[in-house]
Amino acid sequence: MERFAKGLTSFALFLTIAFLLLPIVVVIPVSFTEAPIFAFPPEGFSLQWYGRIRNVDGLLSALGLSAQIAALSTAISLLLGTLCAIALVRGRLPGAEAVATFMVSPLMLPGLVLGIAMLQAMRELGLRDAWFSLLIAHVVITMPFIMRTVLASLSLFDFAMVDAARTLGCSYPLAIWRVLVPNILPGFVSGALFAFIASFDNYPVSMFLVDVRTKTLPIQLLNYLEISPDPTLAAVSTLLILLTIFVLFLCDRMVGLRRMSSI
Amino acid sequence: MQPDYLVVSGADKRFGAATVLRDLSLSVAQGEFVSLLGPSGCGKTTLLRCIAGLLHPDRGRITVGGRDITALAAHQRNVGVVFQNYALFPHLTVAENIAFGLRARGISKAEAGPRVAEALALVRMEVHGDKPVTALSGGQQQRVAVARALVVRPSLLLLDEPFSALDRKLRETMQVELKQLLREVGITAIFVTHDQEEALVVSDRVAVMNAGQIEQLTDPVTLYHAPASLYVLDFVGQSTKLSGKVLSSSDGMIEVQTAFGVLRAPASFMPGSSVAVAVRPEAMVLAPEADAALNTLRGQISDISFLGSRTQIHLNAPAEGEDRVILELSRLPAGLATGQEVSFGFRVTDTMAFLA
Repeated sequence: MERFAKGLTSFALFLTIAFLLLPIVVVIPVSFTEAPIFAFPPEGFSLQWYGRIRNVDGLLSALGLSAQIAALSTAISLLLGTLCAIALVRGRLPGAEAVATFMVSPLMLPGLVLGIAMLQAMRELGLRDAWFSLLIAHVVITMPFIMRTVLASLSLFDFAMVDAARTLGCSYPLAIWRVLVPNILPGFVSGALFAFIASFDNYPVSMFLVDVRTKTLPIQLLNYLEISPDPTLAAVSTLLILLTIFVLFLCDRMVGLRRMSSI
Repeated sequence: MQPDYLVVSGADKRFGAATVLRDLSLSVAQGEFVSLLGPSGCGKTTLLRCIAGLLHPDRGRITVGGRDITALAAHQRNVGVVFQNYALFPHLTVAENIAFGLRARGISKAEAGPRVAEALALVRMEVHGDKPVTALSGGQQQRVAVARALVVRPSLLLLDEPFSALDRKLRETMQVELKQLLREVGITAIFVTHDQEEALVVSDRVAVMNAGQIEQLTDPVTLYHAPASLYVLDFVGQSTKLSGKVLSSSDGMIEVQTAFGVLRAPASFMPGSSVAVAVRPEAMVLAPEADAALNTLRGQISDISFLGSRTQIHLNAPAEGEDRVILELSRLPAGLATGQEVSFGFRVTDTMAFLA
């Protein structure tokens, strides 16, 4: 009986993994098809759709914009989020718990709500520049991811180490840099990774803020799908999958995925 | 030797409504080991952090070697600290941990190398230099923490409950080892501890703290045999306390009525005042011969506890009452049993009396 139950759970695990991964894996062979339509199994083999990425209008610039916004917003969130997290963990602030919950709340808020709110806020402020609007909105999107992992890391961090560094001759900011930062690096890396991805593939918020010339990758891809649904999208997706694998590999090398997932 | 090397004068520290240090003054000689002893919340750690510069007193001055450091930040003070859980840096190796303070002072890697090696040798950790600190035992971690604090040649070493993370047996070894090591270096050291035995073992003088003030500052022997107050008596060592009333007083000697009978103590209190009379357990003898220098009383044995190197005998008063006497004997006489009535005594000069 016990063996049967164990077998059943293993089978369920296998099914779930297949359910999660198959749609993603299917994209890869489709990107090498010769046919001009999304079809599985693919017909023949060609790299033509990869070649087309360069020729599709606005795709590369959208990729560049998304990468730029994601990287910048993640960097800003890392800096601001870490400072906020230290204040929340160390400072004797009234209602620190409530503030911490508030700081991670956009995670729980539907993107649409946030997008509409952002659109209104930018209008009120008279900020018409799409690039800056996107950056500000994406800081709001990425901040909760950073806050969550950094708060978790800090709760395990022994602040006596910062005191020790100070008595050994480091000023407070230097002690933070030399001791706190290297010790919560896994939290930074995993937080930054999630934040980058959340920004990179954000659709519901960005859609309110883009203009004709400033479009992020998800929006550009969906636009393209409406006009000509060919396997170029599969090629782009395949490249993104490769990029993700590469980044995960780098993280594993740097801090270890086990350490990252434990935070 | 400078007699007033570290001087804290009139230090006050408040956290919100709580006053943690009250007009506290302390003076420590160069090369001296002083323990700050007290229960949690007495302000001992706050005082340590004020000396380290991790906290700043609201009022008062702190000088080291004549130099006023009150306004200096922690990193400008050159005061070494060994933290309670050592606060070693887990992202660095043993040698890198020790080099940390040297590097922070802008000393090059090449120059720091020999000094780190010297510090490693001082704490007998030469072979462990390349290990991550997480791979070390508790005692080894303590040695690294001491080496890390000493390598920068601080003007003063502060140790915050340095033995509390070690198990009992190791603690006793490390207390003696650390004491010898620090003597060798010749540094002035302040220990914070709530363990009275540890304070007696490691220090030249002990400051017993109570509610943000120093209740008594003296050498361990005086502290044990002549505590300045009931508070100090309770905190340091075991004792038997009997409450009583002063019957008469003359020539610095009082007679006190207790549940066990009348006894004498060297003190001068007004007749009629309520006092507590205290005796150390090891000062007592069983069935003494008649002697004018002794207080001799009778009691009933309620319990005999064998503790290995010594035996404790608990006695109840012949009259009804809560008061009990604890006797400590190094050798247990044959034929003693609970319920038996015995006479016991202690020297009048070993009898301490405090106003209750």
